[in-house]
Order: sequence, then structure tokens, then C-alpha cells
Amino acid sequence: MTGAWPRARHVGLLLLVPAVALAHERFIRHQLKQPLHDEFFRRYPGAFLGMHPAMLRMGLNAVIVLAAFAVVWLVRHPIDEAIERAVVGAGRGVQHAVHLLACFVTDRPVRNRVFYAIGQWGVIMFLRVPGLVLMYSAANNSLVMPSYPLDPKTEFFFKMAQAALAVLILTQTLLPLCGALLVGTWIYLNRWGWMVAADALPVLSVAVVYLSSPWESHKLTITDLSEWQVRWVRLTLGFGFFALGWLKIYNHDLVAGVADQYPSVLDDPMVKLLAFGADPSFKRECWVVSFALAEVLSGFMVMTGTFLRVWSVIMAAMFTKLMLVDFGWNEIPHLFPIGALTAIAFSSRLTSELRPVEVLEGRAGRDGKRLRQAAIIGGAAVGLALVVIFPMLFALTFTDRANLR
Amino acid sequence: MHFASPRQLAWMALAWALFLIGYDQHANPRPLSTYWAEFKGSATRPNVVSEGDTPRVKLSMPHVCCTGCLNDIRAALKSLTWLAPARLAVEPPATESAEALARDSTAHEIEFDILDVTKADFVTLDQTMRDVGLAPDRMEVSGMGHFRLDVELPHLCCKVCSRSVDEQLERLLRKETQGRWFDSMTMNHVKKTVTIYARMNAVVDVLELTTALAHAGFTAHSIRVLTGPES
Repeated sequence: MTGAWPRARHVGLLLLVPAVALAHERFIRHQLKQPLHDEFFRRYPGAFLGMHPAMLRMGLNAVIVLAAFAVVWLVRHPIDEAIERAVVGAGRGVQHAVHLLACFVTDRPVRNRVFYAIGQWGVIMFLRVPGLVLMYSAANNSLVMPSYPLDPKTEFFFKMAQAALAVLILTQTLLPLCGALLVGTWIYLNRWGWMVAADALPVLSVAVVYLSSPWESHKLTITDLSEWQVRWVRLTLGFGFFALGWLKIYNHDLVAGVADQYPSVLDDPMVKLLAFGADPSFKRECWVVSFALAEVLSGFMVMTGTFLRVWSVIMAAMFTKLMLVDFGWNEIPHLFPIGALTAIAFSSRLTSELRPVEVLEGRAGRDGKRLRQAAIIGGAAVGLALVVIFPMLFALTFTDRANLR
Repeated sequence: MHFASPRQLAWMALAWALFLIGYDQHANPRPLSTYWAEFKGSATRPNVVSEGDTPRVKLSMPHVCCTGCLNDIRAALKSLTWLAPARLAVEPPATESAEALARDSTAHEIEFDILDVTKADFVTLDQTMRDVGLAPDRMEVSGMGHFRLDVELPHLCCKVCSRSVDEQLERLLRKETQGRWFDSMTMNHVKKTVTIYARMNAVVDVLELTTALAHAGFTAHSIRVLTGPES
């Protein structure tokens, strides 16, 4: 084995292993074996911002990672040009391959038949797979996913309703109605509690597509999503993960319970990266925070369309791994986010919410104002990262978790 | 091509949500304040067990034709102090009139509250029923939210036995329960026990567990309920 392969494998692991407990804690075992140090998550007198120094450190690490990604995103075009120029002499095949790869990584349209084919298949899967997930939930006496177990008194109705909705979805019939029913069902899911309903936020991303489909959907072959649909799918999906990340810190016992039941998840390289420099005597507490921040970061990237394809592929691969390797059949509802992430990863209609910043820095660059351009890029990246991470992390230290016991 | 207007979509979604809430309220009537409490206090797990629910066990008896059968059951189960008195939705007819009434079905469901979960042992319960000469076809345990069953397997004499349980029981349980309540299991070779984790708020049929054990070639010495954190 060459030296490059183990390195590549480690990088792969670094990206694939994180978030082993992503958004599924409620349908795997999660009983806390030992209590956490609650004071770690609360106000910490005498420390900067009143936050535990380890928490502060992890917040800072997350800010650095997010800012780095934002900077690379904003300067991706010059980097891409430099790389493509570097391979000019390498032959047409290499040039073309590098160009396709660069287009893929930088979220530009990819002109390739295989890419189109996967994209079309991804959309078909995305639109139909909720039908299978609903059938699975119905067969397991639950609503939408196993986080919502049904009461024996009402289960017959809910199971039949899910089966009917699944048939409509699988036959692509009356999709706007399907979308409305999914949204209505999500509203009803709040009956299990607002925090539990947040688990199902990603389900709303497919509802967006259904709602914006024509009534005659059964007569159409839908293999492509419009720019508007892709934008709203990534906004809802990304927001779902972003919110679930913060909820992991708020509801820390639930996440720590998963680690207590599956201790191997504590040795997660990506999460360790975010916990770099934090007090190792609070191993479980640091794991909860760094793991949550990893989810916040990935959710934010998806939501804003920053390296959307890269993050979508990473997350789809991670969910697939969770399903096939870590937790098995119980993870089958994750076919749903896999479908959504595949559909957006292989779409050629991607946009980014950071576009206004790009316009500003591009104008400064064209005017030859390099310092101004650098200030816009650096300021936007760091400012954005600070605003995304710290206010919420700080606010969470004030929250009372007494109702979670 | 016709598309739904935002107003139509909003109305459809809202109407469906209200319908579901209404149906839920119809099936499980509760004050509106309970909904707010449920919404606010999502805690770490959903609660589908109604307010005031207690641990209980329900026996589905294919044959309880008259008060004679029922009295035998009641008398036998008196010795199990962890069980509250039996409750039946419909009392069977008196022995004298049973023949005259000649109902098509003699099946009854008998429900018991579990007064002391720590003392509950479903092997004893099953055995007591069999001593009467009657057998339930389902023994459903519920009302405890998150719980696990501690199964004592006295015959685990060697590594082959342990491996056999390890390799077969999980597969058999998944087949037997069809994903209804079984979550996962862990084995303790030293203590000769298997801990069966039930899904949250699940209704667990203990007889499905004993059937799976029998198919694996084992019988349990005791099946007890454990709640709360694991030590």
C-alpha cells in the first residue's frame, strides 16, 4: 500500500465518521449511563463571556473551520483557474477531468452524461423515497419516522393514512396535496414536543418540491428540479441540520446517551478536530458540543450553498454508512435525506446565498483594489463565522434545561 | 399545467393538521393544556402513553368462557403480589348460564396493573396461568415508556451456548416481533442474562420473546422488567 492511500483513507474517515449519531438518537438506544457535568453547558462565572473555557475553545475552532471554508469559497475561481492552468500541458483527457472535477467541487454546472443521469435518477429517488419511508413507519407503528410511535388507539387510522399518502407519492399523483399533507403532518408532529418535531424538519424539504409541482404530476416525468426548487430544498434541509445541531447542545443528555450506549462514537476524528485544545477531562461534554457544532457547520454550508455538492456528497455518504455499517435497519428512514442530498449534489442549478459578497469582492477586484477585496473576503468570512457560532452558543448557556429531566 | 396557489396549499396543510389533532383528541380526550405541556416539554423522548398511565400487563386469553375460568385465574394469581386485581372489559357469563348463552367466542382480555415493577416476573406469571390449565396467546407489557427486559438463562454452560444465543436470538426475535417492539439486545455471559431493549413506549408481547427463546432452544428462568439508568 502506498503512503498516499492511507492518508486519503484518513481524510475520508475524517469526513465520513463524524456525526455518527446525526439526528437519529430517538430511534436508537440513548439511555444516559452517567450524568454529565451540567455546569459545563451553563453559565461559568469568572470565565470569558461566562462560558466554560472548553466550550469557548470549541466555538473558536468551529469559527476557524467555518471561516476557512468561507474564504476558500470566495476565492474558488482564482484557485480553480490556477489549477486548470497548471494542467494545461497534461493532455486533453486530464484537462477535461480536472475541469469536470473543478466544476463539481465549485458547484458550477457539470457537462457530463453520467452526471446528468445520476442527477435525473437522484430526483426520481428523492421524490419517491418518502413513500417507502412512510410505509416503513406504518409497518413499525409510528408516524413518519420511528421517533413518533403511535398510540394503539389511533394507530390504525394513522397507518392507513400513511399508506394512502405513500401510494400517492409512489405514483406521483396529486403532488401538491401530498406536500400539503406532509406539512400538515409535521405541524401535528409537534404534539410529541417541539424538539422532537425538529427531528422531522428535513422531511419538509421534499414537501417544498411537491408543493411547487403541478396538479397533473401523474402525467409528467419529473427528472429535474428548477433553480427555485433546489434553493428551497437546500434551505429547508440545511436549516433542519443547523437547528438539530443546536438542539444537541440544548438537549445534551440525549446525545450523550447515544455515546454511552455506543462508546466508539467518542473516538470520532472530525469531532476531535473541533474539540482540539479543549479540556480532555470533560471528554463526553466536549464530544456533545463539538459533535453538535459539526452538524451546525454542515447544516449552515448546505443552507447557504457553500460547497453544496461537497457537503451533500459527504453527508449522503455518511448517512449511507450509518445505515449499512453502524446501526443497520433502524436507520432506513435516512434513505430520505440521502435522496434529498443526492438530488441537490447532482443538480446543475445550484445557487449560493453568499452571492452578494462575491459581487462586492469581484467589483473591488476588477477595480484593482486588492486590499479592499481581501478585507471584504476576510471580514465577511470571519464575521459570518462569528455571527453563526457565538451568539447561539452564548445564548444556550442561559437556557434552563430543567424540563429535559 | 395547473399549480396550487399558496393560499390553497396553506389551507390544505392547516386543515389536515387540524383534522389530525381533532382525531387524536377524539381518540384520546385530554384538556387543551395537556397539548401545551406536551409541546413544551418534549424532553428526551416522546410520550404516547396517556397521562396517568401505569405499568400494566394484558393477557389475551383464547378461553375464558365463564366465571369458573375467571375465578380460577383470579385465585391462582392472588399469590403474585406485584399484580393488581384483574380487570376485564366484559365479564364472562356465570358458569350456570354459559352453556345456555353459548357464545361463538370465549376469548377475553384480562388487564392487570403492575403494582411493583421490581418484583414483576413474567415467567412466573406464565407458569401460574399454565398451572391453572389455561394459557394466554399474548402477554402484553406496556405503560413504562423506556424499559428493558432482563432474561435469566440458567443453561449457558459453555461458549457454544453463549454463541448460540448471541447469533440466533437476535435474528429470531426480529423475525418473531416483526419490528413491533424489539430494539436490540445485549448478553452478559458471566451473569447468564440477556437484556432485551424494547422500543420507546412499546407494547411488548413477552410470549413472542419466549417463543423466540424456545426456537433458539432455551427457556428462561425469569423475565424481569428494568427501568431507569443502567448501572
